[in-house]
Amino acid sequence: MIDPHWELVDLDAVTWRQLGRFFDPGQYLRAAQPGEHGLFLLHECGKVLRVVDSKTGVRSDLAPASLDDPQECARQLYARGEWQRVHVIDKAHLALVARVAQETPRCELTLDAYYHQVYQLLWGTASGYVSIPPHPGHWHGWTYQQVSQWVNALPFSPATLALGVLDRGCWQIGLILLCEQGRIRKITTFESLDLQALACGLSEETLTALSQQLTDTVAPPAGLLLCTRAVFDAWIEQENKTAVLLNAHQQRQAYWHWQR
Amino acid sequence: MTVQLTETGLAIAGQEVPIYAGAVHYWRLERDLWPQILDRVQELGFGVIETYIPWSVHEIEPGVFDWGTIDARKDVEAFMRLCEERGIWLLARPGPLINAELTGFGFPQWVLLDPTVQARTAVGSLHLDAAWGLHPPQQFPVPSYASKTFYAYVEQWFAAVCPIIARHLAPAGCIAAVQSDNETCYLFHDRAYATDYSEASLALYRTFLQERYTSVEVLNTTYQSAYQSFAEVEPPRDCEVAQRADMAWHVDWVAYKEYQIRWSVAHIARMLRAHGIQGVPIFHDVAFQYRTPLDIASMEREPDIDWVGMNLYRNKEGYRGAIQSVRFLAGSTRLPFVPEFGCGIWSHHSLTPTPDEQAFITLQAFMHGLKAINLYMLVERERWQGSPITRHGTFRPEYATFYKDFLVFARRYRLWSMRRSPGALVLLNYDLGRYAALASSLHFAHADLYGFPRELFQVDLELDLRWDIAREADDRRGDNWLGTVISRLEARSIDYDLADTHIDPARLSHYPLVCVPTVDFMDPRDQAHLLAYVEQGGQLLLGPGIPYLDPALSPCEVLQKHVVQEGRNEVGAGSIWWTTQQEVPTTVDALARPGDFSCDDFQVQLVSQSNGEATLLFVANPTAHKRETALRFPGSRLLRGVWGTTETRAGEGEICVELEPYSVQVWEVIA
Repeated sequence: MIDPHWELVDLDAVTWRQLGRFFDPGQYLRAAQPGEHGLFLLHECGKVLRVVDSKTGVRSDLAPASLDDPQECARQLYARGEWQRVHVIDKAHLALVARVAQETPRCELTLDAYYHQVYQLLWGTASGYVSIPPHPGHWHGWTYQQVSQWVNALPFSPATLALGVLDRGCWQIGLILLCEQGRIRKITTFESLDLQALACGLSEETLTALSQQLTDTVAPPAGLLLCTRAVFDAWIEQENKTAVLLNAHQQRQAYWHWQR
Repeated sequence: MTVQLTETGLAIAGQEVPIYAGAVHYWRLERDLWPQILDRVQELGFGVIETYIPWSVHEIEPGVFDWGTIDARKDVEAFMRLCEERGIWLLARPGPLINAELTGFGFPQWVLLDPTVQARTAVGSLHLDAAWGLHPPQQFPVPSYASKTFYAYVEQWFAAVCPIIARHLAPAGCIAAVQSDNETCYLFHDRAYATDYSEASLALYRTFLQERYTSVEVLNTTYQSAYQSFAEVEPPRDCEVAQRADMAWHVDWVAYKEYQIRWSVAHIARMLRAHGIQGVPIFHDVAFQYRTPLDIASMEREPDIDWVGMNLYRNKEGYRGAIQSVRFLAGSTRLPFVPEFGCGIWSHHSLTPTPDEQAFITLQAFMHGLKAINLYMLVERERWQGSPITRHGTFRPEYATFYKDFLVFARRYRLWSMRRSPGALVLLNYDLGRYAALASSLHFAHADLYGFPRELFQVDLELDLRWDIAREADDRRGDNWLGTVISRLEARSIDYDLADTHIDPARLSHYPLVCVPTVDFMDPRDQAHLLAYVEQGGQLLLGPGIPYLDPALSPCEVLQKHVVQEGRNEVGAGSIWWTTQQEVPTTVDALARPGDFSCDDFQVQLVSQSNGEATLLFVANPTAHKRETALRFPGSRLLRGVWGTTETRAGEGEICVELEPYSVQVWEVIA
């Protein structure tokens, strides 16, 4: 998706501060969640190396000398009810993930595809990294395949995708993506547009004006979404994205346009 | 040298030039807009700018260079002439590594894809830069800085770019200083066993061992090994310390990682000199690390490197780290300089700073001893946001106003000439940093992305030592010996500098009190320097342990011979105070010299600076809450607000001040 030579210009600082939370690639890989109370047992092919409680530190009392069945070990520890998640991690598996991912320069992969490969390597075996509860296989309902297929299937090229998030009368996010042949070639913000078009706030009129301006100055829009901050957060975090938007639209808190 | 490095900046043909600079990337800006953009730069008050000269942008295919004939934006010499016409000084950074959020970090792709250039990891793979999750928009193989082929490519680049730089060196030209490479440190993969295990690197490792031990027999004695030659020695690829005898092997690998960086930066500096970069200082910028594998004090002792700065990007919540970095620069370097000081931020950063944050962190840095600064980026460009000047040559007023006002303030008081009077120097124990580095694991690619707790990366070593090394080695915790010293100094409003035990020993005598955390082991040379400081009249506060071993855990008595008891031990004209953690507050109170001003609220920071013409009192509130406190001082004082307040206040013994959250006030002490 991400063109290795993508252009990011005229990024307004307010939009970019709001988007910063999405830039940590680790959140799309890991099972551990922010603030979660976890137990991490590190072993090497069954030999236990270290056990760490995310709140209290090293737990030598919980370290069996060895473990034969990582799944069973994780289940037993989780059954104690002390942690929200138990991780049983084979150090040799982490080494293998690193070695395979970096075997060649991988020039053919975009960065997002590279990280997706790491994700598949990390979670692709039953016993290399055991998490209970298991990794859900998605991030708040989003999957890499779903997003990349969607970008690849845009109805025309070049096409723009735009997102406007209004909060207390101000555009907190005004994001524009230019896509060509399944690649994101350019990212900019509403700053690069004539802001008069956005003066009407959250409305069908703004949606139409924005669509026209994108067509005139960047490329025809394949998807536009204007919504409130609360709707945006719900859309990101809740798994039923469609229901969030439909409900918001009824309350005049979201307007969108998808070109199919 | 035509351009001299001074304590306050540069002296160019006798003219004092403070380094208050900002980054402008000519090749990312429309050529027609260069004059307008430089107008904006000068309107803000800047007389110095900085630019990279990016290798991959100019060498468009092997041996083919575009200096503006194909793309007008690449006419770097025209940009230099424009600076000269306007009287703007320029800091030039030709790499070879530049980062600058460029795809490939400024390295041409054919260089990166040459197998004889590529670094290798401990698990035998390539070392891809994306492995730590930092660097969009595409992963690439990291070069080995030990590779001869790599330097052969760099030689070709320097042969092309250096003549251009040389034609524009000060004082006739605009270029006042040149940087050797950029943030040299394994492209951020700085953990001990992450990299570099390429053949070229292992050859350099063995050269390092040979220099260190001179003969393999000496190495065998230390390692308790039976190598026939240095060529047989393989480095550790993970923490494999099972007994004391294993320590030297691991310490040496960690020290080699430092050596490779120093060797590379000095080697590149010599290449620059050989290509005609003469008469101006050559500097280097460390990314952010002030512990192994970065050894800033030792790097500044390299004869080919004139001075070293450290980059700094912080949000307001990170102010503590920011001021610690500045204190470290003030305590360690010839000119406390931040070659990249956050002014806006790269586009994949998680928290773009607000204008208030940028102002707060900038003021904090100058408050705590910063002398020279390069705002990175002064002018926005692709993959960067939040700068005071846009790429279109217009101001972002919400960001620009502060910098304009600040430069007026700085010139008015000649801020670069102001001096603090730190009451103490706190030394980080470099050997503790090395211990923490070697006693760790999971240095695999991507491991930092999985959300593991820090303790999972640590390895407990059973070495039968007397003190808790891991605890004392952690310079981020406040509840160990080091943390207790720092807390006490700050609670008493005692200004201090930071450095590490590799400090130039001549600097120690600048401080009435030196504090250093010590455990079972310490480098005998560092111990000797501390001892000499004490013998000449210094007060040395150390603890919780007293070293009786060297870092390889062989017996070593330097300080121990003079320390017979806890508490005070008189040595020569000074004293060594061996102090437990519990006794630190009392001992600090007895030894540390408080400044003229103090306050009741330990969260409020005070620093006084003076230059013979004026005395400024900086008062900072680094918390999220409004604070009111009384400034206390002997006798009567008259203070006039010159930043953050315009009031004038007089008082006998105390003056009350109110501080907004995350704010800095500066008061001129009138009488």
